[in-house]
Amino acid sequence: MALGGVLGFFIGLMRASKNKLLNLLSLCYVETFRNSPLLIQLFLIYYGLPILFNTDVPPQTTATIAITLYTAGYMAEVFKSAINGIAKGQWEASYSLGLSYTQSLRRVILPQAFRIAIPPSVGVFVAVTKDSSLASIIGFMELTRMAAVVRSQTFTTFDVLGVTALLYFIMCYSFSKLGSFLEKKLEVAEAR
Amino acid sequence: MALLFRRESKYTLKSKPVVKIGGLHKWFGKLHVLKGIDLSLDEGEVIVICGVSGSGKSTLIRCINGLESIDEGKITVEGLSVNERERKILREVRKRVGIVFQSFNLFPHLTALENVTLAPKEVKKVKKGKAEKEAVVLLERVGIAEKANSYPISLSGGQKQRVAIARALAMNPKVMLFDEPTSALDPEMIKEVLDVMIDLACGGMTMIVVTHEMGFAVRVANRVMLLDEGTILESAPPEEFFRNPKQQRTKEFLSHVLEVNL
Amino acid sequence: MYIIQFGEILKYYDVLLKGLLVTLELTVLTMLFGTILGIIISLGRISKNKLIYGLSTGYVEFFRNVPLLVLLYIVYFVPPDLFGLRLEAFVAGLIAMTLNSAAYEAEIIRAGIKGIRDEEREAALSLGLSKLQLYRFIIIPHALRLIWEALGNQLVGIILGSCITSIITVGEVTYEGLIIGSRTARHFEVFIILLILYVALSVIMSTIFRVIKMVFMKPAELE
Repeated sequence: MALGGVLGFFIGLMRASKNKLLNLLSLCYVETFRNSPLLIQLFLIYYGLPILFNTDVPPQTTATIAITLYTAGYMAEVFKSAINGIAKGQWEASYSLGLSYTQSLRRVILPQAFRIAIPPSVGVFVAVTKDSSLASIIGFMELTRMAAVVRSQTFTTFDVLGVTALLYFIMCYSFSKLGSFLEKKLEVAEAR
Repeated sequence: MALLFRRESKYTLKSKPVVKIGGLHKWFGKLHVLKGIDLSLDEGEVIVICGVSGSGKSTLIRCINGLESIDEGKITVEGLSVNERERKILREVRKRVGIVFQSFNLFPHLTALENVTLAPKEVKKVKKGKAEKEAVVLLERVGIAEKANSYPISLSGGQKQRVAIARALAMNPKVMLFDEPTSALDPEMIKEVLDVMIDLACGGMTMIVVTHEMGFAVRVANRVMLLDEGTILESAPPEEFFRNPKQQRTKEFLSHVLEVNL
Repeated sequence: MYIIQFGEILKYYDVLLKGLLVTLELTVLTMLFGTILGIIISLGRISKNKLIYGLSTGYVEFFRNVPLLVLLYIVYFVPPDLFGLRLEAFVAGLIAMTLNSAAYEAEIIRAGIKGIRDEEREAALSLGLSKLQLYRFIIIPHALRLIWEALGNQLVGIILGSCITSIITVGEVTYEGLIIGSRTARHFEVFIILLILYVALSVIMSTIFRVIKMVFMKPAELE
């Protein structure tokens, strides 16, 4: 996820830039990764990487790459909004002082943008945590096997275990979300 | 201040009071905001209420049309009691009382025309065509007929307030309440709104106006009242109020306000 | 060397189409029921009654923090154990998705209603409007304009969420895709197509929402 954040930052910069080509490329990226389910992206990368590189790829790598790309898509929008959300007057002031685009960006705009970007970033991380955990469940159950299991309805042990696991999961997730919730409150207080 | 254009009183001894307030008390929690207000407003009368912030002026106005509840005492509008929790009676009262707020409170998703015609159409069941015609007349009267199809976001403060006045007038109220109508406006726009209000007063509308615009009071008010810490300290026709204030607090208040206004 | 060939998959276009229809069906129904339930819960969230407020807040927190997949498992696998009631996959999926979506929608609707300043309500009531009229002419139109974009995002979220129901064997497009994949062993192509389908579906829906806003919801900006 951290990687995704970094990648998302750079793509977000592209989204905010005036360069038409960069903007368009990053727009395609963002729209693709935000408008498709993580599951599909996972499978795509799982099946696609071996083809591209002609080697076997361990599922952990698949998952990491997929989640990075997925997170980046959302973080790009967060950063873009943060950058665009800085009042125009800031740009005007820094240009008037003689700073270039890059310098303005680095010294004036970005520091402010980061602060604005924190609350929505936390939201993204919480959401991605939820989604990515689902992916790991799927990783452990090979899909065809699962389909067979579900269809046959004979594995009662599976059901019981499943239910226990689920209840456990609910607990975990609820608490972790509460944790994030509190964290968020602290962040907002800090950002002020 | 020279008293030009002094408005002719339109009320006679036989006029019935349109609004009658008796022994009004109100508390906000432990704070005793209104401490026994008695007020009687006749048809055609214009009363200006002034006072410092927190004196209870807004609260008083808002009690008259039921936006604030009454803890003790009684308010009647054209004989209808405002105390009742009865929604139906309150609606009847509100058909007769128009109010203009400090922050305009126009409906942003409706055009100026739609803002004005909404209540007549829905509350008085006026037909759309008729309501629109009358609305246009009102908008002309307040001077913004050309903005009829504009949305509030594209209007200036003064324009918005004038639409708000037209909207309240569309219900043909017996009395108009103004809660600091020009306080939120830039100086250039205050005049255009005051002109509309003066016009209204000269036309015989019964009005209660909470304001600091003393020029307005001088021109059209029948009575000026100072509300201080929840009670009416002084109440007199403008000449007397401004030239011969009886209470110490009134003198203090006037010296403060007139300093700013002139 | 694995050669990418789409031809094999496209033979099964009718299967995919069937799946797509199920996806759409699931999406529309979820949006419909989710909105209705969401309205009810949002009313609970703004209620002054402590019990109602507590219940609705509990609902929202629960269903926003439990992932959809977990919810699907619960709805599909738990009833058979506890009550001996086995729900059909589609129904289970619909129930889970509706419960999930309603939680988010409740918050969106609540934000919309709260976004209307008290003064606007006061102005409406002062004109003599009844509470019903207040809601019909002021609160609902204004709130709708405020939350329209968020509703659009929610719909896209539902579309993407429907993908996960394939795990519970709901016959929507991803499920059919998985079957095609295992039959033809051309998983990669299948998922490329699915990706494109989902992106297309989402973008189309977003665009429809934007168009509706442009055409029916003037003014363009409210404040």
